[in-house]
Amino acid sequence: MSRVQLHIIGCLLLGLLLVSSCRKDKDNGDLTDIPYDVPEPYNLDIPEGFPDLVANSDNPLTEPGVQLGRRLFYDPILSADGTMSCSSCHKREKGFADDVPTSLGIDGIPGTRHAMSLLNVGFFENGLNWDGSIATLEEQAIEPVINPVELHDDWGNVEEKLRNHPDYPERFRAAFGISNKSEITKELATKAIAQFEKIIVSGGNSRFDRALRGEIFFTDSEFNGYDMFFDISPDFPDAECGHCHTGPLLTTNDYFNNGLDGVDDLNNFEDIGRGAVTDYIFDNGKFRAPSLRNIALTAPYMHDGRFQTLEEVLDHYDSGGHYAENLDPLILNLGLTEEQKQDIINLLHSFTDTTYLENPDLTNPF
Amino acid sequence: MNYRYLSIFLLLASITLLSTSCEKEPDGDVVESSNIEVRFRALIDGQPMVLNERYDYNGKDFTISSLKFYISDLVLVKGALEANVKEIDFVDFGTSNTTAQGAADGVVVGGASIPLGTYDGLKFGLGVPSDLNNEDPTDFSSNHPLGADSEYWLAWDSYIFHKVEGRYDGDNNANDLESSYVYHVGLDENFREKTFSNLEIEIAEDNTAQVVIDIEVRDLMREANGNAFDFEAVGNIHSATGDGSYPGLIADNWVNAFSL
Ligand code: HEC
Ligand code: HEC
Repeated sequence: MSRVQLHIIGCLLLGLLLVSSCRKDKDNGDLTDIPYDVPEPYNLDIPEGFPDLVANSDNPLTEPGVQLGRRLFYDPILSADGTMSCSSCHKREKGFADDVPTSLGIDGIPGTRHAMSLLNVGFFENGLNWDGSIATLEEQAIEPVINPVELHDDWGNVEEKLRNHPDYPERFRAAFGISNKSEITKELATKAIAQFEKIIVSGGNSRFDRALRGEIFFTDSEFNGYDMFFDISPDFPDAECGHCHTGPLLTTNDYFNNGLDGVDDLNNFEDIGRGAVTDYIFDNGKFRAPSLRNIALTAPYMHDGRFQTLEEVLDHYDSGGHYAENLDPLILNLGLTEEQKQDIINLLHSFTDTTYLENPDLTNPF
Repeated sequence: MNYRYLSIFLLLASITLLSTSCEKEPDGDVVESSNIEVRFRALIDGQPMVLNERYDYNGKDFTISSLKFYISDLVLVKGALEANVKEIDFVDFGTSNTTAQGAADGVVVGGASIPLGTYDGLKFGLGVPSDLNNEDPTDFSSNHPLGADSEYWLAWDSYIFHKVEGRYDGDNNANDLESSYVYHVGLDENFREKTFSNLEIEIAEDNTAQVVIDIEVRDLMREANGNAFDFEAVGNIHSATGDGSYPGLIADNWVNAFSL
């Protein structure tokens, strides 16, 4: 055989190898023929006076990461029967909360708790869910997918659906630099979802913010409500709200019993809330005080969605709540007049800031 | 330069570098300072106080559900010298006193790099000193003692220096603690200092000094004449205009409630 012939054969063999390896790689889920650039960081506007996002150096916000998370959040691919997504219960126009007391999952079974608002969720660092049972958004996003009263799928199945999807593998590569479809895991999916959740930010443009910055004046009624909410002057009763709902997010994120249920034994709460997390009986019946930003958008209220309106909420607080031995000492009979209750409700309405609805990155991409 | 010269040069350079860095070490090896732990315990009638447990109050049941305070400029004193232990910290008995053991252990405020020696006094501020009290929680990260929104009161532009909260049996039916009391005190004028003198605190090499400071909870709730507060009359003190001299009185009570 001549040298030239050898050369040709060699080349052919090499070509064959390359082709077959290529084909094999396709079967293997190889993604390396898709160009990859280090993802661009996502620039998040954080309103003045807000704290920093809860830090997670393991999962920085990137443009492709956020966009991938946004798709996953709105995509029913995360549910067993393809009918529901995160957004089915966390509705964008309702402050990313649900508008029913307790949401139904894909099997039509209601949960026991109200789907809470996700606005500003990236700033909450004293535990997530009503009872603080979960620490981070990355961990939190694992649960709804498998919860029987929510999306009721299993992650192995969801990972398979994502790997075989025409669009997602490329997006996972762009966001996380994976080189093979098999690297699409629940860890990466939930990282992306968490990135999206962290950009669900709202604040800075409410009447409340603008009045505090001196750009507008509160109405008289709002101002009176402000006085009672934060106990500014002795001219009005102290409504005590500011003890638990204060700071830039209008919450301390602490756990309290605000008197929703009367029990003569702390073991008798229908939902023991925080107590199940800490295993401390005096935490039974305590729940996280939610942020009151955009509260007018997120009815119904409380961990089980028992109150339909802010009027009912105010009647509750005014009454001093129901007795339990760990009823918070600041839940007192307030003795507010109807007008004073309305003043506080008007203040609560001043916490509304709908500019988040204009953020194109928060809308349904499908 | 050829390679041989270059490598000789590099070798020499690294030797000088190493030797200069070696020279510094002896300094660092000399131990001139050590650590201290100041342990705060909340007591009731001299015994560790367990939060939410029922105790007797003038023949009726009562509980303490919350007990917290800011401590600032904690220093050890040696004649005219002061050694800083801690600039600011938050002591929350909710982190410890939920069990009998936790109540016996109390809350530790630690300090490092205290110059060695024997100190004869200890001093601290009760509350947030005015320079820091001009700030607010948005000026601090949330894991900083001054970063907690719950410990700041907007209407006063002040941190809440200390909180005592609980429930009591208002109608004496023995079952329910249907009434509550809340004492929150802030504002610069209610900042206090506590000094202990004639002590002997040894800061020694390889040893963490231990100091225990007790707080008698009953002493926090006393009228100027020493009588226990009547909760019905003095139930909700909040440094508000209507509270008269009570915020200052409660701040004084705290100073008197500390003992070694
Ligand atoms: C069937 C309705 C439902 C679906 C679907 C659902 N959630 Fe929720 N979500 C809830 C409920 C109910 C809670 C409160 C749970 C609790 O307190 O135990 C909650 C709580 C949360 C919280 C905690 C918020 C906070 O402030 O602590 C986050 C974050 C969250 N959901 C994200 C998601 C994501 C991401 C998905 C999709 C993967 C999702 N949810 C799907 C109902 C739902
Ligand atoms: C002792 C602390 C405390 C005080 C004081 C307090 N709240 Fe709350 N608030 C809470 C807690 C805890 C929850 C959640 C309770 C639950 O769902 O079980 C809550 C829930 C709410 C909700 C419903 C939030 C949601 O997303 O469903 C509103 C509205 C509200 N509070 C307004 C007020 C107003 C107005 C005042 C003053 C009149 C007030 N709160 C006083 C602790 C408090």
